[in-house]
Amino acid sequence: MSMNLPLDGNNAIAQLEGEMNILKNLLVKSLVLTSLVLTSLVVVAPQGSAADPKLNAACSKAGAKGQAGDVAFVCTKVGNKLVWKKAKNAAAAKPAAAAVKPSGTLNIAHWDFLAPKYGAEMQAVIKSYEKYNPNAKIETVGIVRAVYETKMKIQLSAKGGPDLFTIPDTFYPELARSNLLEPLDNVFSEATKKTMNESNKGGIWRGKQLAITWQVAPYAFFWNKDILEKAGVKPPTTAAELVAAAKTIKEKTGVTGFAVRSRLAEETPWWIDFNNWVVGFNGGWSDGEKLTIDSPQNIAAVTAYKAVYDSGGFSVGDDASTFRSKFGQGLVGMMIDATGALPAMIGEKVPSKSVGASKLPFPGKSTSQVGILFGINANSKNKALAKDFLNWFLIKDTQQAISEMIGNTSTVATETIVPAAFLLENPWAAAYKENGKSTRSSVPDGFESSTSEIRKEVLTQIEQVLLGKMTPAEALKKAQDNLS
Amino acid sequence: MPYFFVGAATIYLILFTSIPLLRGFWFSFTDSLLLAPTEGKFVGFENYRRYLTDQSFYSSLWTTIVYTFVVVVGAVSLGVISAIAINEKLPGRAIFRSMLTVPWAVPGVSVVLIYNWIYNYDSGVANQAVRALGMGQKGWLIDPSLGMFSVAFASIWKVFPFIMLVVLAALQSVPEELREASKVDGADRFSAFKTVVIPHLMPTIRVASLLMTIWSIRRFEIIYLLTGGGPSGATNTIVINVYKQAFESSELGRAAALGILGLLLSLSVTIVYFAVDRKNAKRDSL
Repeated sequence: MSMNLPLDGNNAIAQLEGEMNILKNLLVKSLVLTSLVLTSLVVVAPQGSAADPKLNAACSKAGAKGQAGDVAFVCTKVGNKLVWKKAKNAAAAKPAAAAVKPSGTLNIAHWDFLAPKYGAEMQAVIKSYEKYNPNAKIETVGIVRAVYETKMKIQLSAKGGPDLFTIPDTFYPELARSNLLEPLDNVFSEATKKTMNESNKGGIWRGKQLAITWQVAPYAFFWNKDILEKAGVKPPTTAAELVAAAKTIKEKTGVTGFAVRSRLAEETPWWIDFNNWVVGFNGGWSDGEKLTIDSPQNIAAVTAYKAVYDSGGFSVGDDASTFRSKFGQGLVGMMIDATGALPAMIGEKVPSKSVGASKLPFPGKSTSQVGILFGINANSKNKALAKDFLNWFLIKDTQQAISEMIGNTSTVATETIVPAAFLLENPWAAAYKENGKSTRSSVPDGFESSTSEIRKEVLTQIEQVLLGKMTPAEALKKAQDNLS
Repeated sequence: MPYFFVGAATIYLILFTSIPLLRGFWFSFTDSLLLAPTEGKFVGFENYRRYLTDQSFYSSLWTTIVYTFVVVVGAVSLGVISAIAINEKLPGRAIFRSMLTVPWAVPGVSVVLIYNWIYNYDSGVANQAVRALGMGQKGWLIDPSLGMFSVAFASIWKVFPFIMLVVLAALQSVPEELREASKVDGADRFSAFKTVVIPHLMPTIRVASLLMTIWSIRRFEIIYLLTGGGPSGATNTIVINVYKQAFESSELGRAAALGILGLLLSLSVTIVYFAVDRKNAKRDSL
């Protein structure tokens, strides 16, 4: 294709459009041809392999076995017809069903595969699917969290990427809108669907289930009991007490009083963290129909945030890895962070029993959440295998193993049990479990696909508040006006 | 035979430079999104028009020019002074040479980690130093008036050894007989340096400065990882903007247009360099 610069605007545009039309024609022709070839292949293929068995649906060979989700079927003669019936002994049917399970290699990506504390264990749990389906091979792909979205975007835009991958809930709308996720509506049996908890609704996009829950991590307010005792302060329960406590800790002990994210360099995680203040003050970014950025509740939230930022006890300028390291070293008094972060900070210097936790010291009950979904790449060449994997992923034992591995305090796709011994050893866990009952996503309801635009604008204005260049009311009004 | 030797390099350049560049050029005239790059529609000069009428583009352009100027002047000055110092016969010269070369060998990400700690508000070395001098605490990475200085300082620390090594090599190739001749003519140490050494170094410094300028215009990792373009846009160079447009906002078409504008900036520097070089060559030949 020639690449003339449009020196003479209209002619050049017309020429380029003409060339685009030729390309489009060629593309359409090849697509039609490909469709014809694929259609003929489907027609030629044995019908039994075209779809998963359904109860009372016709089958072709008596005694044939099949599996849909975790339900095993046997092709049974009823009158003159051959139909699928549930196998009488599902447990016994499983090994037989394994023989007809799809085969191949599945690539599965998640940043937590690199987690220092449990990454290797998580990979081992995921790979244990190979025992359930001996025809499958699992390859885990760990990608650093900071570049996860970028790497996934690059791979997916080139029609590549892993077969299955975890999806931050803030990234999910962009993928869903671009049709890059395989619909999952017919993947699970009714029995499996009944085990899936409410959190899986986060994976529904315009009526279609495109992903399921991997983990929903709630936030909690927690503190180093030894530091608070040394400073002579009680765990705060209001925003005003938080400001006073942060200041006192700094003055009396010399360590940082309170730490949360505050830098635009960590834009996405700061947005999720900051949502704690918004939902904690009973605010929100939208009411489902219009943006509510400059609502009185949000202004109160930013005002409280600014007050603690200016308290003299705030971790000014620290990124999360820095203030988390400091907490682990016993150099930070109080924090608000997600459940996955705290176990990594606990160690010799700050043992689990030295950590106290509660609801956020704000008027409302809710906390933000780190929502992680799990879906199938629409470009995957192993969709049948990937769907089988998801069915295995939702089995009770798999979910319990995942839940325990990530610290017991997150919500996973189905209900799980927190071992009593764990709660005894980790007293802070109860607060997370309680907070998990009322988490709210940082994705603005009704404006899901504009999340990144809203995030950038709002945080840019909040940065101005932190720099003392605007009041919270002015900043949020400006953000509201710029986005409206 | 000559075609054989240039063939491999030509194929490499076509595959990995020319084709992506042309594709990027094409994208800059479309509204392509990163997740659907082939589905973009032709929008003519719309992406360019939006930038050229947007004040934030000029702010980003100015930031790029300031950053580049500060880093080039800083790195070249420090590099030349260091090269002259370690060219002298002083005790422990080999150790000094090795130590001064270390920053060049340190990966960019490690430089960022080091400087994140140096600039830490509560416990960083920089604030400990200014506190000791009675100047209070500075927000090196959070105060917009200090953001550019902090990022430029870290960049200069990382890149000056390159200039130092290049200039050191040039210094060691100054003909000894010229130095001797200037001594015989009665020149003192400073005069000999000014009339013999500096003219000999100038072509090297010019080329090194050109390279440093182009590298500074397109530097990404140190700036992005230290400040992400902040605080309050103080270090938001064109390259940082391209990254944000392409990978955070997924606006591939707009990012490509900005990339082309950045390329024009680099090209203009190169053109100015060659124009000056040509003028100097003509003057020298007279």
